[in-house]
Amino acid sequence: MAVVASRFPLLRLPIKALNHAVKTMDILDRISLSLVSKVTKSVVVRCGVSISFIRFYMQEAFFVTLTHQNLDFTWCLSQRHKTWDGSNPVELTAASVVQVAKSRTENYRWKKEGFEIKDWIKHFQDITRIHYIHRIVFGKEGERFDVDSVARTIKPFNVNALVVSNECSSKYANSIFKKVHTNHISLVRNLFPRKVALGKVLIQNSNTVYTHTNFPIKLNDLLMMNCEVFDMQARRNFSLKIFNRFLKIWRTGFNRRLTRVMIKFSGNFAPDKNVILKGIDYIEVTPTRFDFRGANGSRATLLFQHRLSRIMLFVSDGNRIQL
Amino acid sequence: MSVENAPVVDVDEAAIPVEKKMYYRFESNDKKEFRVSELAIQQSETLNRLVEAMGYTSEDVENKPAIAIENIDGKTLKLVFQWCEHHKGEAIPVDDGSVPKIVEIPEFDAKLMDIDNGLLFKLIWAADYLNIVQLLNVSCKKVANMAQGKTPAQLRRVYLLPSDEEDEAAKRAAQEAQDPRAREVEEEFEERKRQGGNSFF
Repeated sequence: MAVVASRFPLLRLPIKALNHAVKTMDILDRISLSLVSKVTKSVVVRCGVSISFIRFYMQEAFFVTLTHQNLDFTWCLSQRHKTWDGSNPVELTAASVVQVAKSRTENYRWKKEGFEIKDWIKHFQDITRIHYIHRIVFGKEGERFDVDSVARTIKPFNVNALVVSNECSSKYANSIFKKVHTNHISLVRNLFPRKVALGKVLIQNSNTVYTHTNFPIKLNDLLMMNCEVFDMQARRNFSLKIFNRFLKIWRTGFNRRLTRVMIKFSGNFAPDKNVILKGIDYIEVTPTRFDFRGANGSRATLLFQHRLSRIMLFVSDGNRIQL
Repeated sequence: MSVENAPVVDVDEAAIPVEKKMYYRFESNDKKEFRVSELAIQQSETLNRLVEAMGYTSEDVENKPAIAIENIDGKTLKLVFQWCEHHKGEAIPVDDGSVPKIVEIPEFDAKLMDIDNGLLFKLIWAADYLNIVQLLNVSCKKVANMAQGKTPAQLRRVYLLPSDEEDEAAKRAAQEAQDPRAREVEEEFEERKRQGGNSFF
């Protein structure tokens, strides 16, 4: 005899009970429910899906990770290309069935007719009410996908930060920086060992550029900078004269978007203020704080934080500086 | 006077008046009567307020008609009162609209709710109507558990969820039912088209 699965008219429950039932569902079950119809989606939106981060990972497939109470749930949204012979990169295409790992041993497989990668991402954003993507991380396996197709896929979304893995090739990294634009850029490693200019990254119209490793920085790199915030790691042999020259040029009205530069030196190092401030008309506010004027009434404050082996430059457009 | 020096008085325990346990009588919409202890009633905010407002004495409870609960049937009410009697005296969660993050279903509740989905549905409606917070918590958790590991297509079947197309069709039907003139106009338009008229107006 065939077993008839018992059914329950969920949407006919009183509103309080309906919300109660949906709110006590596991997170993946709640997301699954949101995919059934517009009505169930609105119920799930009303009940909330508490997610703290949405991240993209470009590896042997396109992954989206939602972080819920310190647990990561990762969906594979594109077709996988586990092997690649290094020839022409392939177009990023949506998976017909998306997979999400419930646990190490259990995978859920969901299908939604007509859903492209963009539709999945939009759906996740709608139900979590998170309207930006916290970061996109490119791993070396991502090179098998055509960067243009990746850029087209993520273009409608406000991606906050771009992270390029230290395993990516220079060629791939260059291509990413050229085509993928985000508010913040994070460079884990010097991806330009052949002196392909860091300026290519700094010139982008991003808000922040972070470097987590020592870059050979030239004056030209700093002069190409178009970001608001540049936080960099520097070797001890980083030329303070270059920074002094940069400050002098900045005072003439260069890069009006700039609000902060941080230079963090490796090891214990106390940079010489006389070299950095040479030729600049400054006011000594404290022994470690120096103020000077920039173009159009802007004001700069230079802080020497010796204990942290770093220099911070803050720029404001008025007399008040937010430190 | 110190405690040590206080006179010892023999107490006749039988002489102390013992407060009688009060049992209220309720009647379901299919005329089934239930006797429920005062303590058990406290689990239901609605019934508790009702009996407080009525201010019944023990005699009133016996002499006056049973309190009618019009929209709950006997089968459901039996489950509700079984639950209340089992959990009487337990702390009642504050109903502040929030939902506990983790809901464990106790063994007794699991057995009580080992029922068909139709009855479970009625039980949840009753728990909501009678405002029995903890019963609502566990019964809704049982419903939530039905979703475990289900794909959207499976959930559609389990929860009898209409598709977007079905929702649209139902909406159109409801609109038409609400506005018969719209249907008449449509029929007239179709008729004129059949007759070869170029313009409706």
